Amino acid sequence: MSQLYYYARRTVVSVLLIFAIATFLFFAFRFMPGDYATLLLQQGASPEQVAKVRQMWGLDQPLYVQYFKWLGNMLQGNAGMSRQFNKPVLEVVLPALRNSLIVALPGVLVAFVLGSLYGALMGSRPNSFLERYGIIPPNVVGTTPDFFIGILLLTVFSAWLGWFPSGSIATIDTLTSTSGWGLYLTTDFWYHYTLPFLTVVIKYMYYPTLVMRGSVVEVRNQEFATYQRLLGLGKWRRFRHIMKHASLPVVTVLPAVTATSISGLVLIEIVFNWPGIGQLLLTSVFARDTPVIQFMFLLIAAWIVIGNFIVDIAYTIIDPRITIEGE
Amino acid sequence: MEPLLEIDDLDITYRTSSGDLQAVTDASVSIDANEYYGLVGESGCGKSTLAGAVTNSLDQNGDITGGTVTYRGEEIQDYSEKEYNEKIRWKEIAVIPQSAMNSLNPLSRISEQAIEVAEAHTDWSDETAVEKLEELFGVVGLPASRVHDYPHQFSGGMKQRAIIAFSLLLDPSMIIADEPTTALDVIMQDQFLKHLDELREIRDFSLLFITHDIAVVFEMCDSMAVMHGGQVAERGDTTALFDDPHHPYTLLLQRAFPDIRYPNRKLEGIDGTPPALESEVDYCTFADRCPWAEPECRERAPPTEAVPGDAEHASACVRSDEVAELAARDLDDIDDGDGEPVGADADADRGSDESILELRGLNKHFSQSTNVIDTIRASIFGGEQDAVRAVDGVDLDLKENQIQGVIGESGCGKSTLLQTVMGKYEPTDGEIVFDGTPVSEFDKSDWKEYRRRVQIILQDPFNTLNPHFSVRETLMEPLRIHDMERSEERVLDVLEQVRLTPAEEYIDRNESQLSGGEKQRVSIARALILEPDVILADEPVSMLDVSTQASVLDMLNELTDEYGVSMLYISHDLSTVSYVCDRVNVMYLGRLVESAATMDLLDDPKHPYTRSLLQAIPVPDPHHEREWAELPGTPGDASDLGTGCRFRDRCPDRMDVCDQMPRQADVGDGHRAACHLHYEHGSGGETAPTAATDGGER
Repeated sequence: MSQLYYYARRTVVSVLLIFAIATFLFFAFRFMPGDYATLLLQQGASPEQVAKVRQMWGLDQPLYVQYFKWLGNMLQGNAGMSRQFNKPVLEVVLPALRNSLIVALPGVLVAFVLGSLYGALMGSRPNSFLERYGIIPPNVVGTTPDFFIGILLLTVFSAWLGWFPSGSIATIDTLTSTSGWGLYLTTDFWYHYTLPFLTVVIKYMYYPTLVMRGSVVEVRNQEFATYQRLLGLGKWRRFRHIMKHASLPVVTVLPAVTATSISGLVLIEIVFNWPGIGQLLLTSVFARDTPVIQFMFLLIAAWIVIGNFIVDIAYTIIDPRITIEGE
Repeated sequence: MEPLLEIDDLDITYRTSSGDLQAVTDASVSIDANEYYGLVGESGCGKSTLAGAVTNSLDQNGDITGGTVTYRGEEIQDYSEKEYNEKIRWKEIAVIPQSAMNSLNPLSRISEQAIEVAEAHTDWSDETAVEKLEELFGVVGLPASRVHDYPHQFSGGMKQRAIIAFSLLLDPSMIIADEPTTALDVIMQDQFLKHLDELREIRDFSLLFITHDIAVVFEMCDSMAVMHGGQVAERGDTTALFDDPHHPYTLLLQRAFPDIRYPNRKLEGIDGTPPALESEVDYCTFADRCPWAEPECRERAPPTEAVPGDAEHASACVRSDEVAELAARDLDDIDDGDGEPVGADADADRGSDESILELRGLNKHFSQSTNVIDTIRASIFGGEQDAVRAVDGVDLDLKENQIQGVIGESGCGKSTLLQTVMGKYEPTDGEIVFDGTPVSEFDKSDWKEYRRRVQIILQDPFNTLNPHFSVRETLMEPLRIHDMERSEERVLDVLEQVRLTPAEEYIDRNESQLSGGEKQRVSIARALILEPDVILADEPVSMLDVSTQASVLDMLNELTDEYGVSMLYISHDLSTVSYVCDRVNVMYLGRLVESAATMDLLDDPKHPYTRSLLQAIPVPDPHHEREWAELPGTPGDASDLGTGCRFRDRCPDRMDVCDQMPRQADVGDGHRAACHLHYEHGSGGETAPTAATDGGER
C-alpha cells in the first residue's frame, strides 16, 4: 500500500513538474528580447514583411492565447515548426537527439560502471599506494575541458596513428546508402563512433570515481561493516554489502550527470563534427530558432525529472528504508 | 577444571609512525566454562585491545608481542585469520558489538544476514539457518515470524535482541560483549542485561563482558578483572573484589562510582589520568595516580600475586596486603551519613525564592513534512497533524542559585527543551521568562545580553573546543564577543575556578594537549568567564570516565555554592543528576511527568515511570539483588500520541481513566506528579486533584 502510494505520488509530482517547466520555458522565451521577426528586421526586411511573418506565426496574438495554443499543440505531439529549416521541430530534433544519445547514454553508463569500480577499489585499500596516488589521473582528467580530451584523442589516434577517422558520424557513402536506424548497423558508423564515445567515457569517469572512493571509505567504517568482519564473512561477500551501500550517492547523481553531459556534448560534437543535438542547439541559438531551442530545453529538463523519478524508484529497490520514510 | 579461555602474560604492541606503543602489558585472565566474566577499566586501559587478541580482530598495526591465549587447551594467539575463521570464529567465540543498533546491514533482510553467517562457517542449508534463527528469536523473546524483516523495522531494543540471537547462532561456548550497553539509556540497558541474565538459565556459554561500568559488572558477573594502563590491576571473584579490594585502583574506582541507594555519599574522583602509552612498560601504570605509591612502584612492574586464602583473587600491587589498612587510615568511611552533608542532601536548602528562569507552558513542535504536497495538504486540512511534539507544555521554575535536573530516556525531548531555552528554536507556544522579562519581548540588545547571562555546556568535550585555539584564545573569545575587558588575570582566575591549576601551565595549551576531563573543564570555564546567571548543561559528564566524572560534578556543585550560578542540568543518568541537582524533573515524550526535590523523588517516586527509571539503575554491589525494571516496549512516536497519558501503553498501573491526559498535581511539599494514581476519582468520572490546588497552577 505504502509502496504504491509512494510511486503514485512520485508520478504525479513528476508530471506536474514537467508541466511547470514547460510553462516556465514558454514564458521565459516570450519575454526574451528579440524574436525571430526582429532577426529578419535586422537583415533588412521591411516592417510590412515583419508584420506578415508575425501574423503567420501568431506572434501578434495575446500571450495567453499563444500559450494555450502552444500547450494544445504540444499535447498533440506538435512542437511547432523550425524556422531555420522550415520543417516540423520533431523532424529536426529527433534524428539529432538519436545521434547524441547513442554517444552520451552508453558513454556515461560505461563511465559510471568503470569509475565506480575504480573508486571502490581505491576506497577499499586504505593507505595503499593506489588510494593515495590513484586519485591523481581522474582528477587531472576531470578538470580537463572535454573538447581538449577530444582533440588529444584525435591527435593521437587519428592524426598520428591513423586508426580512426578524424570526425563526422559516417562517410558520405554510408550516409547516402542508409536511412534512419539503418545507419547504426554499419561498421563504418562504429568506426566513427569510437573516439567521441571514448571522450565521453574518459570525461565522465572522474565523478563516480571520486564519489565512490569517499563513499566506500565511509561505509567501510560503518558499524555493520565492522560487525561483518567480526562475523567472519568472506571478503567478496563483505565487498558486495559495502558496494550496495556505497553506490547510493553514485546512483543519485547519475541522471543529473547524463543531463549535463548533453550540454557537454556541444563542444565534443563540434570537435568531432558529430550531427547531434549539441550542434543543433548551437546553430539554433545563432538562428534564434525559438521553437527548436525551447523544445530541446524541455527535453533536457524532462530527462532530469524522469531520471530522478527512475532513481527514486531504484532507491526503493536498493534501500528498503525509503518507503517507510515516505509515509 | 581447565579454564575455557586462558590469557597468560599477554603483551600487545601497536606499531605507529612515532614508534611502538605497548597497549597491554603482562595481562593474565582466565575464564571458566559457563562463567560470566567482567573486564572493567577506563577508556584507553587496553580492555578492548585485549578482547581483540581473543577475537583475532586487532587493528592491522597491532601485534601480540608476548604471552599466550589458550582456548580449550590450544594456543590461538598466532592463528592466521583463515585458521581462526575455520576453527574458532562464531562457532566457538562470538561477539556482541558495542553498537547493536547499527550492526546489521540495513539493506538486507535479517534472515539473509544469518544465512551468510552460516554459509561462512558451516555447511548448513539456507532453511536450516533460518530455522535456527527462528528458534533463537524465540529464545530472546522476538516473534519468530519477523526473521525476514529488515533491521529498520525493528525498534532499538529489538535490534539488541536480534544481535544476541546472532551471537548464539552457531552455539558458541563463549560470547565476548564489548561495551554493549554504553550507547544505551538506562531503561534499554536494563532490558539488555535482563536478557543476558535470563539466557544463563537456558544456554551454556561463557560471557566476557567488557565495560567501563563497574556497577554492571558487579550485577552481572561471577568474576572480574580490573585493568589500568594496559595492566590487569586486580582479578578474582566479583564479591571478593567488592568486599576486600587488594589494589588501590579497585578501591578508588568503587568510591568514584555513584550508587543510587546512597545519594548522599560523597563521590571521590581519582586524580590524574592514565599515563600515555610507551614502547615499554616496566612500572606500575597506576603509580602516578595512587595516593600510596612508593618509589618501588615506578621502578618495576609489580608482580601479580594471589591474595592469601583465595587462589582466584590476585592483585598486582606491592602494597596489596596493606590496602585495607591504608584506606581505613586515609579515607573517610564510605557509608558515613553523619557530619557535613554531601551529595543530594547538601543541596536541599540551596536556591533562593527568586525565579531566574521560568518556563510557562513551553511547546516546541517540529513539522515533519518536507515536500510541497504535504505542506499544501497540511495548510488546507489543518496544521499540525504530523508535527513531532518534542516539547509539549513544560512548566518549570528555576530559582536563583539552584540546580535543577531534567531527566528522561533518549528522545524524550530534553535536549530540544534545552535548545529552545538557548534560543536555537523559537517556541511553538508558551513563554520563557528570564529574570522577570518574557523572552518574546526581547529586542536585539536584550538577546545579546541574554546570550551572555545564559551559558551552555555541551555533552561532548572532544568536539566543542576549536582545535586551533589555545586555552587562552578559547577563553578570550567570549570576552571579545561581549565587549568585556580582556585581561589575562580574568582568564587565570576562571581557570582556577574550574580547578585547572596551576593556571599558568594550562593557559597556553592547545586542545590536543588536554585530557577529556580537562577539555570539559575548559568548556565550563568558557561558560563561567562571562559571569552568567544561568548555565544550561547538556549531559556534561556522560562522556567522561567515572574517575573524572566525580570531580567535575563536585566542581559544578561548588560553583553554584560559591558564585550563585543557577543551572539546568539535562541527563539520562539519574545517579549523576541526583548528585548535583536540588530538584529533579522527569520528562517523558515531551511532558514533565514528575517534579520534586531530589531526596523526595528518590525516597518516594510517585509516577510509575519515575519508579521504573530508579529501578533500572544498576547498583554497584554484588550482594544487592536488584529487580529488573520490567518496563516493556519503547516510548511511542512523538508525532502520534493520541490524547491520553503518554506513558499508558507501558505503564504497569494502567487504568481506564488513563485515556485522558493527567494534569500535574501537587502531591505535597512541592512534589508534583502527572498521574491519575494520585488523583481521587469521583463517582461522576471526573478527575479532581486531591492534595493539589490546581494542576495548571504556576
